[in-house]
Formats: sequence, structure tokens, C-alpha cells
Amino acid sequence: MTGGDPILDIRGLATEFHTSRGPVRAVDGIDLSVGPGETVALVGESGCGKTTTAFSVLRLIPRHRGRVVAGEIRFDRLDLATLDERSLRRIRGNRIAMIFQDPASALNPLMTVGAQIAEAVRLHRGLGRAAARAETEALLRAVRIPEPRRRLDEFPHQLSGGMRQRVMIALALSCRPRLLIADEPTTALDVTVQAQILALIEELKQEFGMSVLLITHDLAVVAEVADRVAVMYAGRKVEEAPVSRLFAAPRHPYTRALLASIPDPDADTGGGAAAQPLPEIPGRVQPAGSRIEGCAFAERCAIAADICRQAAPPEALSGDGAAVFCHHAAPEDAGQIAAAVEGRL
Amino acid sequence: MRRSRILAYAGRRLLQAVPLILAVAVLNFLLLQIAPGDAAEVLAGEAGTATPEYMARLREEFGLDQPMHVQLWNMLLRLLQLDLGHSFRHGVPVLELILDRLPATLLLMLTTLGVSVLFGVLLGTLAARGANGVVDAIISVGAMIAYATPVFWIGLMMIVLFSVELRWLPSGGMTTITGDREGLALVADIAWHMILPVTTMSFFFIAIYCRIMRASVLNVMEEDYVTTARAKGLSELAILPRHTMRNALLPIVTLAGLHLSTLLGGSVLIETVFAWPGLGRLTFDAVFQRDLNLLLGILFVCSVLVVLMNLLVDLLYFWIDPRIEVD
Ligand SMILES: Nc1ncnc2c1ncn2[C@@H]1O[C@H](COP(=O)(O)OP(=O)(O)OP(=O)(O)O)[C@@H](O)[C@H]1O
Ligand SMILES: [Mg+2]
Repeated sequence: MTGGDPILDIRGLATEFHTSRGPVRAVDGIDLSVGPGETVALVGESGCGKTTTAFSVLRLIPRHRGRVVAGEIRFDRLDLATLDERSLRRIRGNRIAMIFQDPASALNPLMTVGAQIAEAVRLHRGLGRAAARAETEALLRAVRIPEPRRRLDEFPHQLSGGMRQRVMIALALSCRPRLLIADEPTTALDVTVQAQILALIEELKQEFGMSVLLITHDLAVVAEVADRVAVMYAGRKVEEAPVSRLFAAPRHPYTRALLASIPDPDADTGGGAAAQPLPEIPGRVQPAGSRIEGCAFAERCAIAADICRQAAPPEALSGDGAAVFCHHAAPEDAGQIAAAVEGRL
Repeated sequence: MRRSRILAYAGRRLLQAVPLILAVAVLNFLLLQIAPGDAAEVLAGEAGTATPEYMARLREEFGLDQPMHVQLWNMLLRLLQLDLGHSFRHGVPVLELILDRLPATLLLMLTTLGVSVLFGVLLGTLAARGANGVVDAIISVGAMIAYATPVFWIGLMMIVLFSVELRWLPSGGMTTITGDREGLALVADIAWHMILPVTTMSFFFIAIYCRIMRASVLNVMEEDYVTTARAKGLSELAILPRHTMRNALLPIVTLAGLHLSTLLGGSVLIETVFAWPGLGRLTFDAVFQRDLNLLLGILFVCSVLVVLMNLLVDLLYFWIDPRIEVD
């Protein structure tokens, strides 16, 4: 933790999608904050609502698809959850920028990469055509793209996956945002390129003095770059802790199961744990939208008791900003949880 | 580099088109042999007295007395020298007749296509933006009706309503017969005469482009790069032309390219209905007069036009979609 008032402070965020079977709540009451200069990782299985959380922050979900139904998203004394479109647009790409999972589809195939970056530069910084072009070239250089001047006039399909993600990063950094939201920025890339992109984000974070909300599947990545981790399960946050604490002493059964199934990085000679997707845990996630009375993880939990199916677990806070939502999170249960998780896996 | 490859590609395509066009000419020739009657009969019939000697003389003059394969061979030799021969009926070079009429047809066709693409794209985008709303419903039902109504019927109804009843617009022709107009006045007069035929033909095409554009915009709106554009802070109105519509236009370009030849074929009908002095009318007359040379000439010019237009559309595609490989 770097300390200071958080840059982004999400309280009780709930987001729903409209479907033919009625509203589906993909994010169900999440608290999450990101401090200045901090990197917060948001982890969890596919479909647990990570992307939806990120999209909710910038309200990027098209109105006909869904909307933020509850909660506050505090950023710079504003509430992004209720802010009007106009003011929101001045924040998007300018103060909060975002990069996406698949750089191949996140860039417009018919526009040169230079034009796509210049578009943001001109919009928020009011630069003229020539100045924007010079600035774009500087940005491409900043993300270590070789021959930036030539690349300006190339189209996305002429670049490799790693280069495209660098372009996305240049685009995100074009207005020196205070917060970068990176939604699985390396998932679609080769293992060797993944490390480069992460190192680049880390480096630019220092250089530009921004905070990062990093969404990922990959616990090895979390261990490497995050200061704090929030673990999501079925639209809810189940545990949050400083990264060293989470890896050393996970408290939620779900977190333990996740950590227990990471392959030992020392035993691996290839790409290391970075190449591994999030491990399989027995059972299935509750389909989003089915209302859950108790703990969302109860159906798959090795130590679930009756209370877990009846009442939502309370938040158990501990000193260093760590929190866990579990009926069995008291220290005296720790041994039991560990044993049960070992037994199941 | 890409540019020179595109030029080489265009050259190759043109060379490949030569045998194709000749093959089409042979086919046309053979098909026309099947049609009963010839120019001599028509001319003689009109003259009233048709002595066998007179008919034989006409046939000799037109070369119709020669065996079929000789006629075919002569035609191919002429085509290779770009000589389309003389019209049986008008006695002047076929090429001269065609070049005289071609601009009127191209004007009508391209205006129709331009108007159709413009309105189709705008209406389709509008429908997609308000998908499943009232505007969408109105546009979609309108498109369905326009698509299903026969062109000749629309044409006749337009003439009856706007020309005969209301007397707002001329029912046919390309210019007003009385008065010699020049410059802008002539342009305005021609535009005035184009309103009915262009509107008539456009209904159908607007309906198609509208449907395609609606679906295409709805698809593109789901693309990640549109989300990227939104995350940049662009407004919906700024995203629409630069990101959404531009990408959504690709299928329209393909379709409009195909429709160039459809329109060329459709000119026979529309020019007949609206007395438009173009290639379509010339074709119509040539058929009735059994003017074999003229008909073969028109078909030849049309096949050349289609080849050129397709090539142009391909080049346009290279220009708007940088992903397309040239080879
Ligand atoms: N457009 C949509 N309409 C309806 N439901 C949706 C939509 N987008 C996402 N969902 C649902 O919301 C839930 C959360 O999805 P989300 O994409 O946020 O998950 P995620 O954690 O980002 O997963 P992944 O790791 O696969 O990216 C999922 O159950 C998904 O089915
Ligand atoms: Mg996701």
C-alpha cells in the first residue's frame, strides 16, 4: 500500500445485464479501492464478473445490454455510477484509461494505429493534427515500439500481437491517466511477450505515476506485480488482502483452493506458472442471476455448513486492510479449512 | 509497394478479361441465332412489298447469307480490332450509336446507385441505432414494402401520380423538347427529368441496403474496437461515422458492386418506361428490329463495362480495407 486517499473507491457496486430471462446480476455488491500509485489485482474464475466490474467503472456497458443498478464509484470526488454522460466522457481515456484482453479486436482494422491514438490525443488535449502526430510518435517510442514513425501509418493487422498491445498501452497512456484498468492484458499473447508487456506496464506506471487495476486469471502475474489482491467469486468479493499476506495466509476456502492448485513454479522449467490458466476447482460456479441466499461458494466448498447456505457471510476485517467473507474465517478454523481443501484436491 | 502491386493486379485482371469477353460474345452470337426472324424480314415487312429478290439482296448486304461459322469468325475478327460493324437498321457504325447513348445510361445508373447507397446507409444506420424501437419498425416495414413492390408498377404509379395527375414532373425523356437550354439550365433540366426514373429504381435498392446496413451496424456495434473508441472518451455521435459506419459499409460496397451489372440489365425496362434515351432503349429497339450487329455490339460493350466495373469495385475495396491481400 502506498497510502493516501484512494483514487478509486467502489462501494457496494451491483451491475445487471438484461437478458431474455430477466435481469442477471453479474456483479453483486462489490467494494474495491485503489490507492495512488497502487496496483490492485482482481482475480477469479472466468465469468465471475471481473470484466463487468471494470466496465462498470467507466460505464462502458451499452444501455441496451445492462447497467449499474446500485453502489457508488468514487473517483476524484465524483460518483461515476451516476455521473452524466458528458462529464463521464471527459474522464474516459483521459483520467481513467483501459486496455483490453484481445488487442487484435480492440483496434479498428480500417484505421492506422497512429490515427487511433491521435484521436484520443486530439480529443482530450486539444492538439492540432501535426502536434498530435508528433505526440503519437513519442507515445509509440515510450512503449518501445521500434521505428515509431513508420508504425504510425501501419494498420493493426500489420503488427504482431505484442506490438498491438503496446499500441493499446500507448493509446491508454496518451492522456497521462491517473488510473489504468487493464483487463487481462496478456491473456491473448505468447508467453514470452506476456512478461514484456507486464514489465512495460510496471515501468510506465512508475514513470507516469498512475495506479493500476489489473484484472487477471494468472496468479503468477499477481504475485509479481500486485500490491493488493481482491478475489472475486460469482459476482462477489470473497477475500481481499495485501499480496504477500494473501499468498502466505489465504483465509477463504476458495482462495486456498486457487492457491493450492498452482503448479510449483520451481518444478516448472518452461514458461513457469505464467503459462497456466486458473486451476480447476471441483463443481461449477452458480449461474449468474440465480439468487443466492447464503455464501455463493457454499455448493463447492469442502467445509460448508448449514449456515453457509442460509446466510450471507459477514465481512471479517483484520488489520492491514485485509478482509474475508466467510463464516469459517476465524483463525481457529484455519487448520480445518486447510485440511479440508487438501483433502478435496 | 502496395500501390504498384495493385496496379499489376489491375493489369492482370484486364488481360484475363479478354478471353472471357470473347467467350461471352460467342455465346451471345449463338443465342441470337436461335431467335426467329432477321433484320431483312423486318425491313422488308415494313417496306410492304417483300419480293424474294429484295430480301436476298438485304441478306447479302448484311452478310446473313453466309454460313453461321463464317459469320461468327468474321465477328470475332472485327471485335479483336474493336470494330463493332454497322447497324443493319441505321446504317451507321454500331460503336457510334452506342457511344451516343451510353452517357445517358451511365448517368441514370450511377445516380440511382449513389442515391440508393446514400439513403440505404442512412436509414439502415438510423434503424440500427434505434433497434427494436418505433423508428426501426417504421423503417423496416417501409423497406419490406419497397423490396416487395415490382419496379415497373412503382414506375407506372409514379408517372400516373406525379406526372399525369399532379403535373409536377415530366413523365419521360431526358430533356424538355421545347427550348434550347445550355449550361446550368440544361443540367437542372436533366436532373428534373431524372427524378422519376431514379426514384422508381431506388426503392428496391434502398430497401436492400437499408436491411444490410442495419444488420451490419448492429454487428459492428458489438465489436471490441467500438468499446475502445467509447473508452477513449469519444461521443456516440463521433464513434458512429468513424468507427461503426465505416466498418459496417464493407458489405454494402460488395453488394453495390454486384448491383452495377443488375442496374445495367434493368436499364432496358426503366428506359422503356420513362422514354430515357439510353442504351436500354437502344437494346429494346435493336431486339425488335432484329438488328443483329447492333445487339451484339451492345452486349459486347456491356460485358466490357461489367468487367471494368467489377475491377473498379475491387480496387475500391483495396482502398477502404487495408487487410485485403493484393494478389
Ligand atoms: N452482455 C451480457 N449479457 C448477459 N450476460 C452477460 C453479458 N456479459 C457478461 N455476462 C455475464 O456476466 C457474468 C460476468 O461476466 P464477465 O465477463 O464480467 O466475467 P469475467 O470475470 O470477466 O470472465 P472472463 O475471465 O471469462 O473474462 C457472466 O456470467 C456472464 O455470463
Ligand atoms: Mg473478462
